[in-house]
Amino acid sequence: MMKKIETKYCGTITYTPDELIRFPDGLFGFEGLHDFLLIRLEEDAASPYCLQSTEDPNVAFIMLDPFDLVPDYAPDLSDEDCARLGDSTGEQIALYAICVLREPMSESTVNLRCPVAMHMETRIAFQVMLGGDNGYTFRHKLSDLVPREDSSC
Amino acid sequence: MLILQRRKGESIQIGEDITVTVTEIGTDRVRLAISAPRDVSIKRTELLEAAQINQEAADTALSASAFQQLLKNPKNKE
Repeated sequence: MMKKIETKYCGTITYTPDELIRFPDGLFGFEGLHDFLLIRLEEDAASPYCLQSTEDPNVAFIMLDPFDLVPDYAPDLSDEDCARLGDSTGEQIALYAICVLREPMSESTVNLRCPVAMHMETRIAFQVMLGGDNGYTFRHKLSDLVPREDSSC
Repeated sequence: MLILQRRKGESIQIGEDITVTVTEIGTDRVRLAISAPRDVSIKRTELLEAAQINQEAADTALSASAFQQLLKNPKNKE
């Protein structure tokens, strides 16, 4: 059955319940929201994602593929995290990093310490908290990670 | 800031009714047992920061220009 939602960034879209991503524990600070849609902002493969709540249309997060930002990103998911995601090997798990976007863009940050981890088949997801000893912080400057547009000038 | 040394099994008392006991000491982590009244909020500090950042991320009213800049930024540029 198709449902309709007014999204924060992408206008009105329709979806079916099987497209939903289920967060049993919500996200940090948003523990009461459990159902989200993962929307690509543009068609191309490097496009950011929007994680849109279907329960509160005002709640949406912009997310990037952390491996695009840090090619050797190696978050050490705990056994506990893998267990609750239902994947002991970690092979079925996709990771996304939530951004805080500000103007100017140089003030924008990305949270590499708390990636969203999603099981690609079951569509169950958690926001995980990595240990403090792996070098990933809550606020990496996007401008330090993304190649600058005008770097060739 | 007050800094105290405690051994396994020892505890500290905060105010009248909060007790923190060291129950286990590993190589790089300790296990604490905290006894406090129900109305005292106890959270891991990093979870508070994570919630704060998520709130900022959700509060961002993204301007069209910031959006475009993000979208055109070539993340896989060689």
